[in-house]
Amino acid sequence: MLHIQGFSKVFDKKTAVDDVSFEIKEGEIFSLIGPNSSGKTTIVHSVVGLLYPDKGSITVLKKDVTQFPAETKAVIGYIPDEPSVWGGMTGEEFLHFTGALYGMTPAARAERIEELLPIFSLGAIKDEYFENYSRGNKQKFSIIAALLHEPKLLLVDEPIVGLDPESANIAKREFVKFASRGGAVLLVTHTLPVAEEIATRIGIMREGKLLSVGTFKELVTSAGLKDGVSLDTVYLALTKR
Amino acid sequence: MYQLLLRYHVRFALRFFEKNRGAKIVTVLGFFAAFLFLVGLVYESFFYGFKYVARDVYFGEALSIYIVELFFLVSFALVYVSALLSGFFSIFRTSSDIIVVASPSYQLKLMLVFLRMFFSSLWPLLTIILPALVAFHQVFGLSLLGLLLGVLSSVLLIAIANAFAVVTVLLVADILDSLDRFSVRNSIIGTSLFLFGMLFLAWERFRALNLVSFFQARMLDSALPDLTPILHQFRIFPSHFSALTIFYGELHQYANALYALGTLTVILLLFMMCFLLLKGEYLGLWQKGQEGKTGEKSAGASHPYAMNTLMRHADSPSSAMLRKEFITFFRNPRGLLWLGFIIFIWVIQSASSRVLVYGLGAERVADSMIPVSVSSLQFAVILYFVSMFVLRFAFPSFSAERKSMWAIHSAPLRMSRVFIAKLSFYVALFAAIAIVFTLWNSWTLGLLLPLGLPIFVAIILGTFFLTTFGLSLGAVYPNSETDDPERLSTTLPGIGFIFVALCYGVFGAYALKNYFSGHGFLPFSLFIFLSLALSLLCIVRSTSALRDISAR
Repeated sequence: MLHIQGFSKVFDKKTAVDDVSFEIKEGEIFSLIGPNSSGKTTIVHSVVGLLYPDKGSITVLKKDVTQFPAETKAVIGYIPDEPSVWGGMTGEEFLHFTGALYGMTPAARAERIEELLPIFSLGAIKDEYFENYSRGNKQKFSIIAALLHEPKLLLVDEPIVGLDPESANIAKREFVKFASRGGAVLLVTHTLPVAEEIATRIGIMREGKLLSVGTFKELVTSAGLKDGVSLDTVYLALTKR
Repeated sequence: MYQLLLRYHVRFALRFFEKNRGAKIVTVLGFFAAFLFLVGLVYESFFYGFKYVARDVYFGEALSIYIVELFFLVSFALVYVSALLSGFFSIFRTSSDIIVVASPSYQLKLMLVFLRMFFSSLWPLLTIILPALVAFHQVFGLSLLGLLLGVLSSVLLIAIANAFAVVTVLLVADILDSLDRFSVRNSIIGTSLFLFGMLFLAWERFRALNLVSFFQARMLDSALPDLTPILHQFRIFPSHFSALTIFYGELHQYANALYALGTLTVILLLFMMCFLLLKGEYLGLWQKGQEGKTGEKSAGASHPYAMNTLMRHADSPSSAMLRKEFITFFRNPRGLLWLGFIIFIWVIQSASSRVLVYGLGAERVADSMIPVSVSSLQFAVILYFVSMFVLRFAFPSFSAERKSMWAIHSAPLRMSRVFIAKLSFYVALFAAIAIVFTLWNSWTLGLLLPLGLPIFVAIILGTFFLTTFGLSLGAVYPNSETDDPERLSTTLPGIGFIFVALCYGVFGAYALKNYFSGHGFLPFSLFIFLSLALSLLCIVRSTSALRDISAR
């Protein structure tokens, strides 16, 4: 589904991502973890077309994101780390707006919105202005907006920040459900228990480099640790090498 | 605290030059060059205007003091209304000083707002008031000391306008709160009513003015008109004391000039006292001001059904973009207040024309005698107001939305569609306003549009070009340091826009004057050709730049 090969990105002579390669298959939840400024968000932004890769290639369903931006964006659902939206729009208007940008008809949008709003019980606040929502509610609307057009690849940047425990569980369940239906998820997070709980594979980044990739078990082994340790311990062991 | 803030701003300015120093120095120099050009243009206009007035032996002095009174009054009104606009939101809604409000020194927040408003208001002092005073000094022989006192009185007047604005906002909010009706929305409505009441009283004072008897134009036996009626007419406004400072400075009566300056200081102290008295209630009002957008929670509460269902019916990405522009524009109270402010300035200009035309009573110039240059000048004025709309709304549009742009950049949508949607919305809106005001101004001046279709074509074309140019500048040179439209308007591309818009308006007026006076069609056809060609160029350039920006 997503194939990244030799990808690098440089900002003002500072290398944000350095020769990173990995792929995500259908049905997989791939989690990228790493300290601040390790290049995780830069990768997500480059896949969704918010940034241009300096080197390497990024393909979604075998199409290069730089050559076929419209086609690749059409199959991606993006959940940003900072869900800022025009304050004067209501939640429902934002969902209709996003759906229309992805070419959905008004009827299809209305039906899908009705279907998705109950996930986070947002029906009662859908007519309120976006600027009045808490961070968590903004995040919930951005999750629904990303799922609206039934994408094949979901890019999730810090999904749990701002969500209450109940909503965080719902979000995790939705990502798992999405993957179980054949979708692929790229999950960028600092909340390691989330990655440990739902990721099928994990990539650990530091200073723009992808240090290790594998299932949780494989990472434990490569860190030279014994079974039963948490991802926190594995992460610390691998990033401090 | 204030020293800390001062140090912060100094360090902020120094930090600006840390990276890309060469490019930033060029930017700053470019800014100053454009700024000096603007100041020079204002100075030249006032200089030649005053020279023209001074040529009249009988009316020269009376007209000059009348112009100075009117100039200070209009400056005071504009600073006051502009301070009210920023005041509503800075006092009750901005989150930038949230740490100050959360601290035990929360009352400092109001003083910070006042200081910020005051320093921002010094901008018109530098660009308009100072060049006008220097022109007055050159033409009417105002001494250097008189000029200095004039500048001091202008600074005091600006401080009074800001203090008055803060006091108005707090007083209205206090009254509403005592009636248990306080919300930012109600506060805006209440303050607007107060403002309209004051405007009505000022209008009543000028509406019935007979300029012939006011300037004693029929008193042929006196060598000079008596200035008392003019001074009497303005004495209720604080701006009168600034005009008096200039008046006495011109007559070298410095004791009187200092007395006028002292009166301004007393007025300022009175407002500051009211400000301090009202400060005690501020925290509670600020807390209530945080509750919802202008006091309402949902769109259904304050907007018509058609607007609330607008987005549901969007049947294509372009249609969704256009509807998004409409919704976000008409649900932005701060933007709408600015729209109202620019229209308010336009109304002042039209009202002045009306006073001038109808104040002459029976001596009024016949419609057929009004030269075509008056219509051409009206055209330039209308383009100038359109430029103000473009500078405030279309130009900052891309930079102001950068935090929300992820939703558009991540969608399968060509950036040219985003640009076209914005352009269509702003051109339609500004052209509609420009046409309404063309009809209104023509009616006010009694021109009855003898010039017909060409002037409408020129206005629509002018609006199209200015909007395309402003939007393109904002798209090609996005600003990543601020999303505040007011600050964005004063950046280098903003000043560049003002420069081009002024030149374009002058050229358009010249072309129309030539066309209507039968001196040739060439300048007018060149105006049409250039407007279309440059608009097209702007569209091509900006859509290509947007494509690059979204990809990189």
